[in-house]
Amino acid sequence: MEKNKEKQFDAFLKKAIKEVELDAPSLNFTEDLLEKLEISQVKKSSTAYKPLISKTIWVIIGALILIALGGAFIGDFESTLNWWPSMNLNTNYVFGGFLSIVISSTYLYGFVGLAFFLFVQIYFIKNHVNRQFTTN
Amino acid sequence: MNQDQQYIQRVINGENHVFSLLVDKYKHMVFTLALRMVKSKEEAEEVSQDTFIRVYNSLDKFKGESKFSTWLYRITYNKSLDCLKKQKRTIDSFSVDGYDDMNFPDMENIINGIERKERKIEMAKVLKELSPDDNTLITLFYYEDLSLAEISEVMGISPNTAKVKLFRSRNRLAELLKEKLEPEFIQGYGKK
Repeated sequence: MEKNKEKQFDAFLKKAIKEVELDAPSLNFTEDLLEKLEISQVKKSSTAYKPLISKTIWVIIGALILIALGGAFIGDFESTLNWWPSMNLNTNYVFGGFLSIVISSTYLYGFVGLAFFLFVQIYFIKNHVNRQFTTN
Repeated sequence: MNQDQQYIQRVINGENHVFSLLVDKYKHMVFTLALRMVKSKEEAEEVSQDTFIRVYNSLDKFKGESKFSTWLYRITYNKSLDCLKKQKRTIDSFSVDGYDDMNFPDMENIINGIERKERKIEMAKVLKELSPDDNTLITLFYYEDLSLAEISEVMGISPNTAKVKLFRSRNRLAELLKEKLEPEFIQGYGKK
Protein backbone atom coordinates (compact mmCIF):
# COMPACT_ATOMS: atom_id res chain seq x y z
CA MET A 1 0.00 0.00 0.00
CA GLU A 2 2.76 2.43 1.07
CA LYS A 3 4.88 1.31 -1.90
CA ASN A 4 1.99 2.10 -4.17
CA LYS A 5 1.63 5.56 -2.64
CA GLU A 6 5.37 6.10 -3.15
CA LYS A 7 5.11 5.24 -6.84
CA GLN A 8 2.13 7.50 -7.18
CA PHE A 9 4.04 10.31 -5.49
CA ASP A 10 6.97 9.76 -7.86
CA ALA A 11 4.67 10.00 -10.85
CA PHE A 12 3.13 13.16 -9.41
CA LEU A 13 6.57 14.71 -8.87
CA LYS A 14 7.69 13.97 -12.45
CA LYS A 15 4.59 15.73 -13.73
CA ALA A 16 4.49 18.62 -11.25
CA ILE A 17 8.20 19.47 -11.45
CA LYS A 18 8.10 19.54 -15.23
CA GLU A 19 5.18 21.96 -14.98
CA VAL A 20 7.41 24.44 -13.17
CA GLU A 21 9.13 26.16 -16.06
CA LEU A 22 12.85 26.72 -16.16
CA ASP A 23 14.05 30.13 -15.05
CA ALA A 24 15.39 32.40 -17.77
CA PRO A 25 18.64 34.31 -17.47
CA SER A 26 18.86 37.94 -18.59
CA LEU A 27 17.93 38.73 -22.19
CA ASN A 28 21.46 39.58 -23.25
CA PHE A 29 23.03 36.61 -21.45
CA THR A 30 24.57 35.08 -24.59
CA GLU A 31 25.80 38.43 -25.97
CA ASP A 32 27.43 39.33 -22.64
CA LEU A 33 29.10 35.96 -22.47
CA LEU A 34 30.42 36.08 -26.04
CA GLU A 35 31.73 39.55 -25.37
CA LYS A 36 33.57 38.25 -22.32
CA LEU A 37 34.99 35.42 -24.40
CA GLU A 38 35.83 37.88 -27.21
CA ILE A 39 34.19 35.72 -29.84
CA SER A 40 31.35 38.06 -30.56
CA GLN A 41 30.21 37.86 -34.17
CA VAL A 42 29.24 41.50 -34.23
CA LYS A 43 32.46 43.30 -34.80
CA LYS A 44 32.57 46.60 -33.03
CA SER A 45 33.01 49.16 -35.81
CA SER A 46 36.40 50.62 -35.26
CA THR A 47 36.17 54.04 -36.84
CA ALA A 48 39.77 54.89 -37.37
CA TYR A 49 39.68 58.20 -39.12
CA LYS A 50 42.17 58.43 -41.91
CA PRO A 51 42.78 61.91 -43.27
CA LEU A 52 41.68 62.42 -46.84
CA ILE A 53 44.98 64.08 -47.68
CA SER A 54 47.92 62.30 -46.15
CA LYS A 55 50.90 64.01 -44.56
CA THR A 56 53.12 63.26 -47.56
CA ILE A 57 50.67 64.92 -49.94
CA TRP A 58 50.49 67.96 -47.65
CA VAL A 59 54.30 68.20 -47.69
CA ILE A 60 54.32 67.98 -51.50
CA ILE A 61 51.57 70.61 -51.77
CA GLY A 62 53.44 72.86 -49.32
CA ALA A 63 56.69 72.45 -51.25
CA LEU A 64 54.95 73.28 -54.55
CA ILE A 65 53.39 76.43 -53.06
CA LEU A 66 56.76 77.50 -51.63
CA ILE A 67 58.46 76.90 -54.99
CA ALA A 68 55.74 78.86 -56.77
CA LEU A 69 55.92 81.73 -54.26
CA GLY A 70 59.70 81.69 -54.27
CA GLY A 71 59.72 81.67 -58.04
CA ALA A 72 57.31 84.62 -58.13
CA PHE A 73 59.48 86.70 -55.78
CA ILE A 74 62.94 85.71 -56.86
CA GLY A 75 62.51 84.77 -60.47
CA ASP A 76 61.79 87.20 -63.25
CA PHE A 77 59.17 85.58 -65.35
CA GLU A 78 56.99 87.02 -67.92
CA SER A 79 53.89 85.06 -68.41
CA THR A 80 53.23 84.11 -71.91
CA LEU A 81 50.33 82.04 -72.86
CA ASN A 82 51.43 80.61 -76.11
CA TRP A 83 49.83 77.15 -75.60
CA TRP A 84 46.33 78.47 -74.94
CA PRO A 85 44.01 78.80 -77.92
CA SER A 86 43.41 82.43 -78.63
CA MET A 87 40.05 83.50 -77.37
CA ASN A 88 38.59 86.36 -79.15
CA LEU A 89 35.35 86.93 -77.43
CA ASN A 90 33.34 89.30 -79.43
CA THR A 91 31.77 90.99 -76.46
CA ASN A 92 30.37 93.66 -78.66
CA TYR A 93 28.17 91.08 -80.26
CA VAL A 94 27.10 89.40 -76.97
CA PHE A 95 26.59 92.33 -74.60
CA GLY A 96 25.92 95.10 -77.03
CA GLY A 97 29.23 96.79 -76.57
CA PHE A 98 28.88 97.98 -72.98
CA LEU A 99 31.02 95.21 -71.45
CA SER A 100 34.40 94.23 -72.54
CA ILE A 101 36.14 91.30 -70.77
CA VAL A 102 39.85 91.23 -70.52
CA ILE A 103 41.04 87.86 -69.31
CA SER A 104 44.49 88.04 -67.87
CA SER A 105 46.75 85.03 -68.15
CA THR A 106 47.09 84.84 -64.32
CA TYR A 107 43.34 84.62 -64.00
CA LEU A 108 43.25 81.95 -66.63
CA TYR A 109 45.96 79.88 -64.88
CA GLY A 110 44.10 80.22 -61.61
CA PHE A 111 40.79 79.25 -63.14
CA VAL A 112 42.18 76.21 -64.96
CA GLY A 113 44.03 75.11 -61.81
CA LEU A 114 40.88 75.47 -59.70
CA ALA A 115 38.81 73.50 -62.19
CA PHE A 116 41.48 70.79 -62.31
CA PHE A 117 41.69 70.42 -58.56
CA LEU A 118 37.91 70.46 -58.26
CA PHE A 119 37.66 67.42 -60.51
CA VAL A 120 40.51 65.69 -58.71
CA GLN A 121 38.79 66.37 -55.39
CA ILE A 122 35.48 64.97 -56.64
CA TYR A 123 37.27 61.81 -57.76
CA PHE A 124 39.02 61.31 -54.41
CA ILE A 125 35.95 62.11 -52.31
CA LYS A 126 33.84 59.70 -54.37
CA ASN A 127 36.34 56.88 -53.86
CA HIS A 128 36.66 57.66 -50.19
CA VAL A 129 32.89 57.65 -49.61
CA ASN A 130 32.51 54.44 -51.62
CA ARG A 131 35.08 52.71 -49.45
CA GLN A 132 33.36 53.83 -46.26
CA PHE A 133 29.99 52.41 -47.22
CA THR A 134 31.22 49.18 -48.73
CA THR A 135 30.31 46.23 -46.54
CA ASN A 136 32.36 43.11 -46.83
CA MET B 1 28.43 11.84 -33.10
CA ASN B 2 25.52 13.70 -31.51
CA GLN B 3 24.66 17.35 -32.15
CA ASP B 4 26.49 18.63 -29.05
CA GLN B 5 29.69 16.84 -30.04
CA GLN B 6 29.42 18.23 -33.56
CA TYR B 7 29.16 21.75 -32.13
CA ILE B 8 32.12 21.11 -29.82
CA GLN B 9 34.22 19.83 -32.70
CA ARG B 10 33.40 22.90 -34.76
CA VAL B 11 34.37 25.22 -31.89
CA ILE B 12 37.65 23.33 -31.43
CA ASN B 13 38.27 23.63 -35.20
CA GLY B 14 38.08 27.40 -34.94
CA GLU B 15 34.41 28.19 -35.52
CA ASN B 16 34.23 29.98 -32.18
CA HIS B 17 30.82 31.53 -32.84
CA VAL B 18 29.22 28.03 -32.82
CA PHE B 19 29.68 28.11 -29.05
CA SER B 20 26.68 30.46 -28.87
CA LEU B 21 24.47 27.58 -30.10
CA LEU B 22 25.53 25.47 -27.13
CA VAL B 23 24.98 28.42 -24.79
CA ASP B 24 21.47 29.04 -26.15
CA LYS B 25 20.62 25.38 -25.84
CA TYR B 26 21.67 24.99 -22.21
CA LYS B 27 21.53 28.45 -20.65
CA HIS B 28 18.06 27.98 -19.15
CA MET B 29 18.91 24.69 -17.47
CA VAL B 30 22.28 25.97 -16.22
CA PHE B 31 20.68 29.15 -14.89
CA THR B 32 17.85 27.21 -13.19
CA LEU B 33 20.26 24.79 -11.52
CA ALA B 34 22.40 27.69 -10.30
CA LEU B 35 19.38 29.70 -9.13
CA ARG B 36 17.93 26.77 -7.20
CA MET B 37 21.25 26.42 -5.43
CA VAL B 38 22.38 30.00 -4.78
CA LYS B 39 18.81 31.43 -4.50
CA SER B 40 19.67 34.83 -6.00
CA LYS B 41 19.17 35.84 -9.63
CA GLU B 42 22.28 38.05 -9.78
CA GLU B 43 24.50 35.36 -8.33
CA ALA B 44 22.93 32.68 -10.51
CA GLU B 45 23.63 34.80 -13.58
CA GLU B 46 27.26 35.18 -12.52
CA VAL B 47 27.60 31.47 -11.76
CA SER B 48 26.09 30.63 -15.18
CA GLN B 49 28.47 32.99 -16.99
CA ASP B 50 31.46 31.56 -15.10
CA THR B 51 30.26 28.05 -15.94
CA PHE B 52 30.15 28.72 -19.68
CA ILE B 53 33.51 30.51 -19.61
CA ARG B 54 35.03 27.49 -17.88
CA VAL B 55 33.37 25.15 -20.39
CA TYR B 56 34.67 27.20 -23.33
CA ASN B 57 38.21 27.23 -21.99
CA SER B 58 38.24 23.48 -21.35
CA LEU B 59 36.32 22.27 -24.40
CA ASP B 60 39.40 20.54 -25.79
CA LYS B 61 39.66 18.56 -22.54
CA PHE B 62 36.14 17.18 -22.93
CA LYS B 63 36.67 13.62 -24.05
CA GLY B 64 33.05 12.77 -24.75
CA GLU B 65 33.05 9.79 -22.41
CA SER B 66 29.96 11.13 -20.70
CA LYS B 67 27.19 13.32 -22.09
CA PHE B 68 28.09 16.98 -22.62
CA SER B 69 25.11 18.00 -20.47
CA THR B 70 26.36 15.88 -17.54
CA TRP B 71 29.77 17.54 -17.76
CA LEU B 72 28.16 20.97 -18.02
CA TYR B 73 25.90 20.37 -15.00
CA ARG B 74 28.87 19.14 -13.00
CA ILE B 75 30.67 22.42 -13.67
CA THR B 76 27.48 24.36 -12.81
CA TYR B 77 27.13 22.41 -9.56
CA ASN B 78 30.76 23.03 -8.58
CA LYS B 79 30.58 26.73 -9.48
CA SER B 80 27.40 27.07 -7.40
CA LEU B 81 29.12 25.33 -4.48
CA ASP B 82 32.04 27.77 -4.79
CA CYS B 83 29.58 30.65 -4.72
CA LEU B 84 27.86 29.27 -1.61
CA LYS B 85 31.21 28.64 0.09
CA LYS B 86 32.22 32.23 -0.62
CA GLN B 87 29.12 33.39 1.20
CA LYS B 88 29.74 30.76 3.88
CA ARG B 89 26.24 29.42 3.40
CA THR B 90 25.50 25.81 4.22
CA ILE B 91 24.94 23.43 1.35
CA ASP B 92 22.64 20.99 3.11
CA SER B 93 20.56 23.10 5.43
CA PHE B 94 18.34 20.28 6.62
CA SER B 95 19.27 17.65 9.10
CA VAL B 96 20.02 14.31 7.47
CA ASP B 97 18.09 12.38 10.09
CA GLY B 98 14.39 12.23 10.45
CA TYR B 99 13.37 11.83 6.83
CA ASP B 100 13.98 8.14 6.35
CA ASP B 101 10.46 7.13 7.23
CA MET B 102 7.77 9.06 5.55
CA ASN B 103 4.07 8.96 5.03
CA PHE B 104 3.63 10.08 1.47
CA PRO B 105 0.76 12.49 0.98
CA ASP B 106 -2.29 11.12 -0.73
CA MET B 107 -1.54 12.57 -4.14
CA GLU B 108 -4.74 11.48 -5.77
CA ASN B 109 -6.70 13.78 -3.50
CA ILE B 110 -4.24 16.62 -3.89
CA ILE B 111 -4.00 16.34 -7.68
CA ASN B 112 -7.74 16.31 -8.05
CA GLY B 113 -8.31 19.03 -5.51
CA ILE B 114 -5.88 21.65 -6.75
CA GLU B 115 -5.89 23.50 -10.04
CA ARG B 116 -2.90 22.95 -12.31
CA LYS B 117 -1.91 26.63 -12.19
CA GLU B 118 -2.06 26.70 -8.43
CA ARG B 119 -0.07 23.48 -8.22
CA LYS B 120 2.62 25.01 -10.41
CA ILE B 121 2.92 28.08 -8.19
CA GLU B 122 3.02 26.04 -4.99
CA MET B 123 5.59 23.64 -6.43
CA ALA B 124 7.84 26.58 -7.41
CA LYS B 125 7.55 27.92 -3.85
CA VAL B 126 8.37 24.54 -2.33
CA LEU B 127 11.43 24.16 -4.57
CA LYS B 128 12.71 27.51 -3.31
CA GLU B 129 12.54 26.20 0.24
CA LEU B 130 14.61 23.11 -0.51
CA SER B 131 18.33 23.07 0.27
CA PRO B 132 20.81 23.49 -2.64
CA ASP B 133 21.70 19.79 -2.72
CA ASP B 134 18.08 18.63 -2.50
CA ASN B 135 17.17 21.01 -5.29
CA THR B 136 19.94 19.73 -7.55
CA LEU B 137 18.94 16.12 -6.97
CA ILE B 138 15.23 16.74 -7.51
CA THR B 139 15.74 18.91 -10.62
CA LEU B 140 18.20 16.54 -12.28
CA PHE B 141 16.17 13.42 -11.50
CA TYR B 142 12.61 14.60 -12.03
CA TYR B 143 13.06 17.41 -14.56
CA GLU B 144 16.09 16.33 -16.59
CA ASP B 145 15.41 12.58 -16.20
CA LEU B 146 19.06 11.92 -15.40
CA SER B 147 19.93 8.46 -14.12
CA LEU B 148 21.39 7.95 -10.64
CA ALA B 149 24.76 7.21 -12.28
CA GLU B 150 24.67 10.54 -14.12
CA ILE B 151 23.58 12.42 -10.99
CA SER B 152 26.42 10.84 -9.06
CA GLU B 153 28.81 12.05 -11.75
CA VAL B 154 27.42 15.61 -11.58
CA MET B 155 27.64 15.77 -7.80
CA GLY B 156 30.85 13.81 -7.41
CA ILE B 157 29.34 11.12 -5.18
CA SER B 158 28.79 7.37 -5.56
CA PRO B 159 25.56 6.15 -7.22
CA ASN B 160 24.53 4.57 -3.90
CA THR B 161 24.97 7.84 -2.03
CA ALA B 162 23.02 9.57 -4.80
CA LYS B 163 20.21 7.07 -4.32
CA VAL B 164 20.07 7.59 -0.55
CA LYS B 165 20.30 11.38 -0.94
CA LEU B 166 17.57 11.42 -3.56
CA PHE B 167 15.33 9.33 -1.32
CA ARG B 168 15.79 11.81 1.53
CA SER B 169 15.36 14.82 -0.74
CA ARG B 170 12.10 13.38 -2.01
CA ASN B 171 10.90 12.84 1.55
CA ARG B 172 11.70 16.41 2.47
CA LEU B 173 9.87 17.60 -0.61
CA ALA B 174 6.89 15.43 0.32
CA GLU B 175 6.87 16.90 3.81
CA LEU B 176 6.93 20.46 2.45
CA LEU B 177 4.19 19.66 -0.07
CA LYS B 178 2.06 18.15 2.64
CA GLU B 179 2.36 21.33 4.68
CA LYS B 180 1.58 23.55 1.70
CA LEU B 181 -0.97 21.67 -0.31
CA GLU B 182 -3.03 19.62 2.09
CA PRO B 183 -4.48 22.53 4.14
CA GLU B 184 -5.46 24.30 0.91
CA PHE B 185 -7.06 21.18 -0.38
CA ILE B 186 -8.95 20.71 2.87
CA GLN B 187 -10.05 24.36 2.84
CA GLY B 188 -11.11 24.15 -0.78
CA TYR B 189 -12.93 20.89 -0.11
CA GLY B 190 -14.77 22.38 2.85
CA LYS B 191 -16.10 25.21 0.71
CA LYS B 192 -17.63 22.93 -1.86
